[in-house]
Amino acid sequence: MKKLLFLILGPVFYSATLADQDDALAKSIERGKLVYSENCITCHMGTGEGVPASFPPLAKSDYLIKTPEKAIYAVKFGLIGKIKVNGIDYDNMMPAPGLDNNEIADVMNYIQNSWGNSSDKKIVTEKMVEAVEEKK
Amino acid sequence: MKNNITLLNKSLPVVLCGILLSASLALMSNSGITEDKNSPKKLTEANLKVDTVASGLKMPWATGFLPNGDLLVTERGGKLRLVKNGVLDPQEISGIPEVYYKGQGGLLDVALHPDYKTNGWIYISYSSPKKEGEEGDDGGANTALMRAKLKDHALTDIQQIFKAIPNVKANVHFGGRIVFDKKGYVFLSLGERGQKENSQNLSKDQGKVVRLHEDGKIPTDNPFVKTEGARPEIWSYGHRNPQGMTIHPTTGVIWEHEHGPQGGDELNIVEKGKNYGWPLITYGIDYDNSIISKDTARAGLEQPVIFWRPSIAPCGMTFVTSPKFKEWNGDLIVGSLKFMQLQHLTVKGNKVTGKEILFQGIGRVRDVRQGPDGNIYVVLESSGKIVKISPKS
Repeated sequence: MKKLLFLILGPVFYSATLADQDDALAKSIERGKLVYSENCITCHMGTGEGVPASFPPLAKSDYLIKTPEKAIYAVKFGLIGKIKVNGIDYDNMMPAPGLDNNEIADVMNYIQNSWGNSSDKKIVTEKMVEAVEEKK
Repeated sequence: MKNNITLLNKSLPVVLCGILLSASLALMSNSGITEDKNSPKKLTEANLKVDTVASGLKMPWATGFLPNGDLLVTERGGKLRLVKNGVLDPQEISGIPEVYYKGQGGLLDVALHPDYKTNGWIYISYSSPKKEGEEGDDGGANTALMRAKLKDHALTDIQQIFKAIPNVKANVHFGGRIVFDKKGYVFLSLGERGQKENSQNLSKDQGKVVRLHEDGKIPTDNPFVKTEGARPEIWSYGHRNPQGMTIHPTTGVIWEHEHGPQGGDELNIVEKGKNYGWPLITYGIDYDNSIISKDTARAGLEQPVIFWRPSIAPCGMTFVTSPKFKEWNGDLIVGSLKFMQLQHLTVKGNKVTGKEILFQGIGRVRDVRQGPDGNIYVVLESSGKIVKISPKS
């Protein structure tokens, strides 16, 4: 009987956890949108297309999609010098916007899930941001 | 059929000739402009050199020239630095108050009093976090102005002479430029802190230029001193994020530039009591591509001298009044954060009659100043450098 209960309730709990996670992601994306509009939008633009030759795109950006940890690093500590995004070189500077780790997680979740980007329901958490350390 | 071919053969030279003619016409009209630029008396980028006078700075925002030749430099993170003989002094200057270093906030402008040699006052603007008893959002901030004197590596006689009200919990639009008019007044530009409607609200300091006595007292002849509910320090309003402000060397008129929305950066002449229109009129659209206003002009609202589309993100400008740049005297040099360049604007009276891009790729420009030596100094955020532009030879 106990086993039966477990069999029945197991998937229920499991799916509830998944739903919680989806909900957490949706809420983080919503908060991240505000962070984006305040700190990122003037250079990376409203639909993440960037500015040709000056600021790289975030929409369908291989840099963001393939190496999200590099994107977290850039948001946390700023970025200077050459990078390649979708085959195009950019040589500019992004000042660190001075965001808290939870805000960085939110804005990462927003940019990873906007303008055709998808993180496949994976969420960037505050802890993941905290773990990224500055290279001296 | 044969006739047709003959016709084509006959007409082909005519067509080619036409193409050549129009091409040469196009060339002529282009060369008209080029010729003007290359006329022998014209001062161009080719006659100028760029030398690094300081490096190793972390996000520098502004610089001031001390009488002994040293440079004072603000770093947005909250440090005031000295550059001596082209070398950044490793010891920072103490006495800078707590700054709100987030987004666009931090330690901002620095300006020496015009009579610095006798009174020693240094003015500094910064994003100031909300203190007990101040109006506004908890955890918020707004732009403040302080003055102090420099003794060795320490600020002394520190006085906060102004704080913009209310504090706002947002990371954007602090403005922050300081200008003296040599008549005993100091002007400070203030951004609208991301709340555009408050640029039009005279009971708040957001999106304003304020005018103070040099000790922070409010002049009794400010335009809104007698307006009920209005803040008496306000000199002009309807600004968005004015990060550049300078005074015309001969007319004494104050010129300001501000970051507009997408495609709406502006150059303005700032005058007493006037409304510069943000967000009721604008040449730009919002960054999410939505329309802010369908109007670019309305009665009672000031027009910019020029606007930039696309936005260049102007930051820092100076009038040229130097024997080293004779042909540019009276003109403006404006820095661009976004396109990493300088723009030379030809000024005739209250109009800009020409625009020329200089030093494309120089870096993210935060400040442009003419030094006491008549050379032009540019503060570069991206490379953490200050460079000097001077004539070759």
